[in-house]
Amino acid sequence: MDAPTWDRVKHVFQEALDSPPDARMARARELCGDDRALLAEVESLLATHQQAGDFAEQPAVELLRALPSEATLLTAVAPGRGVRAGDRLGAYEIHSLIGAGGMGDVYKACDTRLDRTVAIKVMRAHTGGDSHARERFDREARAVAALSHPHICTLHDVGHQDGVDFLVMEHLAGETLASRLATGPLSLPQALEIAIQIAAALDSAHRAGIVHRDLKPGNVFLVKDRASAPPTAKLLDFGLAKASAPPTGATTGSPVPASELTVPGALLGTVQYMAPEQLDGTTADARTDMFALGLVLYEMITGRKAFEGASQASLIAAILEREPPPLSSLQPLTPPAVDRIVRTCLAKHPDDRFQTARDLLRQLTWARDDDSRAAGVDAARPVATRRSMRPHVVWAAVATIATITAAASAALVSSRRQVPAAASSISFSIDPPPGTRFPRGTADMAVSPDGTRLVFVALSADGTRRLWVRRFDSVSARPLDGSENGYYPFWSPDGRSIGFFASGKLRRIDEAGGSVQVLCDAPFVRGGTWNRDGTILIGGSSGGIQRLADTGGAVTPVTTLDASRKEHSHVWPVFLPDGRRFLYLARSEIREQTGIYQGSLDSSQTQRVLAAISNVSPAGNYLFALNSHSLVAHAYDADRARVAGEPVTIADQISLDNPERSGSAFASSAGVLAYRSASPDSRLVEFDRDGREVGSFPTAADYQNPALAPDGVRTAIEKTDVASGKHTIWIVELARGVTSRLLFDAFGAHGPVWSPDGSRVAFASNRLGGIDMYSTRTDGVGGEELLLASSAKLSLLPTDWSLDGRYLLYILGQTPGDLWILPMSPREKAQPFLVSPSNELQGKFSPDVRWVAYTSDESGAPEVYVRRFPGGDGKWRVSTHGGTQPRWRHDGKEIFYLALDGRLMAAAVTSDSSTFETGAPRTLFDTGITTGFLDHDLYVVSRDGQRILVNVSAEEKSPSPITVVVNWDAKLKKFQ
Amino acid sequence: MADRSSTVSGLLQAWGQGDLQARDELLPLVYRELRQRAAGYLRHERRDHTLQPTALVNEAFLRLVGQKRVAWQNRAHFLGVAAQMMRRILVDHARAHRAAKRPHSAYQVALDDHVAVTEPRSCELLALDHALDELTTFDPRMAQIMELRYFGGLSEQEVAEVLSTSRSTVTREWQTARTWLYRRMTASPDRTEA
Repeated sequence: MDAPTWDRVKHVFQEALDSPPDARMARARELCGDDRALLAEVESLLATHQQAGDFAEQPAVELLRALPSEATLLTAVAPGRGVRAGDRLGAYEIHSLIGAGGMGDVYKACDTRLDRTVAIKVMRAHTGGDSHARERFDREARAVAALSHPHICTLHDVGHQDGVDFLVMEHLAGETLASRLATGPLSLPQALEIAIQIAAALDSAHRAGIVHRDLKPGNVFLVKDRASAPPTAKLLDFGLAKASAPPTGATTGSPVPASELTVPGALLGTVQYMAPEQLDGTTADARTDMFALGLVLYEMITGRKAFEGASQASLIAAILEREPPPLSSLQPLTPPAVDRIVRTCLAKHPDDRFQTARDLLRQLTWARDDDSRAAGVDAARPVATRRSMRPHVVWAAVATIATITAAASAALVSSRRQVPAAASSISFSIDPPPGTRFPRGTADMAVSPDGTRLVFVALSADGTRRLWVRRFDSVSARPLDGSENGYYPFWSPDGRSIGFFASGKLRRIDEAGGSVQVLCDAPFVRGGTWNRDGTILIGGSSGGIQRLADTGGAVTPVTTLDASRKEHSHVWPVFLPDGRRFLYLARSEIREQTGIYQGSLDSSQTQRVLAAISNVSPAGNYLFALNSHSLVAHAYDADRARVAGEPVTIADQISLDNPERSGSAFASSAGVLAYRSASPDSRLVEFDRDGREVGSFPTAADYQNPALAPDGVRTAIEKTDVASGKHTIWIVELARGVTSRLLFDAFGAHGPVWSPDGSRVAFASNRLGGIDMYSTRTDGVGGEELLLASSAKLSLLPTDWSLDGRYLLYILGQTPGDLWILPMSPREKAQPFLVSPSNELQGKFSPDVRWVAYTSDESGAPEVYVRRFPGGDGKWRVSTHGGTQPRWRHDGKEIFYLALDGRLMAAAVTSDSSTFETGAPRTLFDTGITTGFLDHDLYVVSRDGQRILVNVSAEEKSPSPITVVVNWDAKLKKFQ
Repeated sequence: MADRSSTVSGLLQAWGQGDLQARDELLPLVYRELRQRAAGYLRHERRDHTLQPTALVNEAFLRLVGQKRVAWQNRAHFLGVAAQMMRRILVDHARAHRAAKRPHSAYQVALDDHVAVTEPRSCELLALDHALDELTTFDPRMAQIMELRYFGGLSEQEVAEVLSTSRSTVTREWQTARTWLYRRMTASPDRTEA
């Protein structure tokens, strides 16, 4: 008989294995029948199977771990140098080995010069003769050494000796959080305290441009000063950290390979504490540290790791795909606020996390104070992250929101029973309704007077605005029919109606539904407010505050512009609780004069309250206002019209758009505060004329004002300098995916435009105090030149450089801005091109320098026009229903512009020497960007007009939710 | 370095689209990388026992595939390659270790308790490697399951995912492979050619 085939053997063996052990032989005989050779083979295998025990059950690596492995076996990586007691490294004398970390061994040592005890970490991998690597090592070390923070282990020195790289650090006594956690979870107050300290440390580091990237319990040291004192946390090992700013002068727009970011041979963080983007291999940034802090906090509270896996691969899968069990399922007494904080930290997508350590720090502080103040509201579960919601998670989230909002309502009730001291504050999020997005940070929300509802604006996919109402005791928002294109909603005092602006009219709508009533014409409105007597105040973009009855009728002025202060408009009126006095923003041509004033229906007297550039919201004894980009609360005394003390920051990045024009996204009433903060980042995406995405620049950043070089390859763009927080100018090459910094000083720089030969870029900067115009060489050899100094505090902003090289077109002043011409020959003076009471902005020369396309609001709405150059005579309107940001195709045969709803339009140009004519504009595609009448440019067009590079807000793609805080004043108590 | 990182993700992608040549080009890259990692890892291991054994594979993955998002979609491919390369590295390591100890000897070793104590386990690994080669000649899939499970450190469930098969199949094949290999390694020389 032939030898049995392996397939047969295997089949019978496996069938037999399915039987219980003592029945296997019988089963094999049954299956083999007469085939004795087959049976013999199967029996042999069955016997072997029994003998084999757990052979090979452990992975091979485990087997080798037992080996006394010689470092000489595999020498691909430079060996770590042994350092022994008594050795000297520079001025340091080694005493003893005190620990081993991921990156090297740590020794206790003595600084012989200062006679102080230090800790020295001898790096396991070393930079060797690689001067570049050493330079990077030193640079990173220097960056870390520059951090001075009570919760960051101080780095004193860095050195190299005999091929050994070492770091000299503060010597600490205590234990790592990892070893503390080995004994079990921490108490909630202790966990929060440590998390707060870590967040504070991260905030400080992030502000210095340093991301830790390897935060884990092993890198948190708990210092024990006295036995009784609670431990102080110190963050260790910024060793894997890298400066989050790209290395100066290098072209690093393309993602840097991980290998270049870490010391060779070191493990790249610990997978257990890695964020999804690290596993994905995308760039780690400050938000990566948020994720790690979430993991650490989770572990401190529960004593368990948030993500676990039977193997590395399943652990990775868990981090990428799964939600950890809710804190409350492991520690039922965890306050919902803490659960929510951890959830937010652990969001899979960085955009869904806290965007700054400061935000996180604040939430943690609040949570700690709430926890210590109140028993906490038993709203067990967190708001699930919005991304990656599977159906059952959605249900959980719905249940959660219901629970939290019910709790919120309960808290509201309790606050009305005048026990505010016992009420704790509760936060929850409102996402854009399905299929919609929120506008960028504009004043498009209002809390109902009783604090139970929020009206807000959301944009549908086609860009249509609509008002939505979300009752806090409901799980979803409801659109208001007839509210299309609505802006700046405000509530009636009885909470039944909502006033809003749409298509140039003030309208009112009943929240319960019903007809929409037009109250008056209101073409340039910024904000409204409504009192119990049925009086509505509206603010206008030109003129003072006006009043009318809530039934409509005549509109009469309430405030008058103060010419001595060069005021040009009074906007964002809001009644104080008495319904007679009100606050508003007076905007002036002089920035210092712009601010919040208090007025009254009963008097023409006004009192200045506060320097501000945007809307405010009074709330009890507080006033919420925008400060830079943060939402702050000022203590406010309405009787004296005065703010007192230092404002308390509530949230960062509140306003992304132009707060001076569109207000800011926050509102409050009855102890409820709503706001929306969001990432200012944007992406550069290239489209074809049909709106198909044909390319994009990999790195998101806070980009503004792209300008395409004449070579069609480079784009100059504004981007935030991490150190100073100011915009400066970079050069981006989309095709190669690289960016390089053009200007290296700490001053802000704006509005780059290219010289026709591409050798220079002109820009505006405040380096001399005023906002002046400069130009600089683009090849990096300097040659910066002051083109024009501003006078009388009027800002300058270049908009174009003529292709013949002879003229620079620029905007002088703001609201109104005018277009001026600077001849580039030294003897000629700047001269006006278009000066009028209205705004003329965004001027662009035609390629033949015979025409200038620009935007003006002279008709009441921004439209694109063309005039003859240099005379400025003739005037042809290009846009039909509003338009901004004109661009010429390189052959001058087409003009592009943005319609106000974000559609990119194109109009064919026919012109000869004397006449100018354009065809009807047609839509190319919807860019998805919301445009106002903005100073900054949002797109560039390739020379052939076939490709359009659009600066797309990251926020448009993944908007952050509206945050609602109930009983926010409970949080503020701590700050008093 | 940048070139290599983009090369690897490109190769992974190409392989994902069925380009087998891409796979072959990938192997040496993954090998080199893992080997470098392994050196640090094996040295490191004695000092810090908290490290996960498969940290290596993940780290290699991060380094090789670098910053490209395409990576994770080809995770199965990568795990397969990585397991194969881990095998090479561990075998090399074992071989180097044995070489350092004593001269070359035959690969068959007895695996009873007594011998296992005196015989470095590295030899067991070498024997297994040879036997696995043999298994590959007539049941490549079973050998691959062994490789993923034993050298790659994957769980049965993960192996099932990588090979797009059921977990129960993996369990059976795994048990069979283990058994066959054990028999092969412990067989007396006169049976080896059976």
